[in-house]
Amino acid sequence: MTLAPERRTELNALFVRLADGGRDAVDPAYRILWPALRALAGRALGPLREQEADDVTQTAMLKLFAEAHRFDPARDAFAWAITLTSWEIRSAVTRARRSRSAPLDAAQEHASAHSSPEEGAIQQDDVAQLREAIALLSPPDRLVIEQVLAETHPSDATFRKRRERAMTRLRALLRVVYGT
Amino acid sequence: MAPDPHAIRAARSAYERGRAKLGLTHAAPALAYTVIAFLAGSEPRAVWFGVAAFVAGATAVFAGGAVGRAVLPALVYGALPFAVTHLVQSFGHVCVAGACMAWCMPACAATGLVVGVAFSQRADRDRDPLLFFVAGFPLILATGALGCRCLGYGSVAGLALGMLLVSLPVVPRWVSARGV
Repeated sequence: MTLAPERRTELNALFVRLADGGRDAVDPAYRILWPALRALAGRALGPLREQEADDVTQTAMLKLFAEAHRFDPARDAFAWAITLTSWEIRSAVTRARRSRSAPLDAAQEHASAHSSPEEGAIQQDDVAQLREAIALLSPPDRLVIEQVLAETHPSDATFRKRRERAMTRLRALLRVVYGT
Repeated sequence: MAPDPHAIRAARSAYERGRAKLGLTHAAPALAYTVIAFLAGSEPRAVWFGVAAFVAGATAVFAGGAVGRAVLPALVYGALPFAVTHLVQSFGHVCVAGACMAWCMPACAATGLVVGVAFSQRADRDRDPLLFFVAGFPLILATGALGCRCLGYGSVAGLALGMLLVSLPVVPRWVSARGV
């Protein structure tokens, strides 16, 4: 995710033109930036989220070009683009984390609807413990559990093995931390 | 991994939207002058000067280049004739040795001279001083005209003459620098 010095200089010159209303600089600037920013998003979001990486890169690019008139020639255009893309990646990760916790919320709501207030409180406590335990897992294990909860996991043998291992570690964690 | 043409088109649209927003923001002072002039009791026809300055300014910034760069400085420098003429209008006439005259005309001509010197110096610092000055001149005139209409178009002409008088000596240098 680096850019050769001469490409960086070229990009800076293009952004100086863009800041001054040079519309012909949009295409070449886009073509220089896209591969580098797409690689950054791809690496940050992982191989399972290729489509999302495309979307994140495009959103960052749109914001970058909408703000191109603000470009300060004393600064580096590529560094600016990286900063903007990193923000978009962070937003995507936060969004995904929230949507992954949604199945757990739905399960909790479903359980609460059919139980007494006392049972509901116990169930809420259990779900909170489960959520905390999931958060303590390693990122790969957490990803597996989250995929299982969201029902978006593949059904191959490799995944089943990974799920089994992640579940074992989750159970062990629940036993150690909460004694359940 | 290559960007698709739709994505580049979307980036171009985002860039145009950014420039349009910039144009509206940079030309906004013209509308502010118009409102102030209206509240200060300028005749309703003077509003057209403000509206014309806003539309021309926004279009120039959207287009970009030296024409666009001149808009905000021109509207800022236009504040001087605008403010001074509004101020002196409340002074009415001055009578010296039996001869009376309105403050308006000398105020317009004098601020024209001052703004002419200041704006020429500002244009001199631009990459394309000639175009910068030519683009900014009508905007300053329109802004000043919101106040300098106290004696009809004669006072607007006084402002224009004052500006041209002090800036004309540097025009040949700008022309030769441009290679025209």
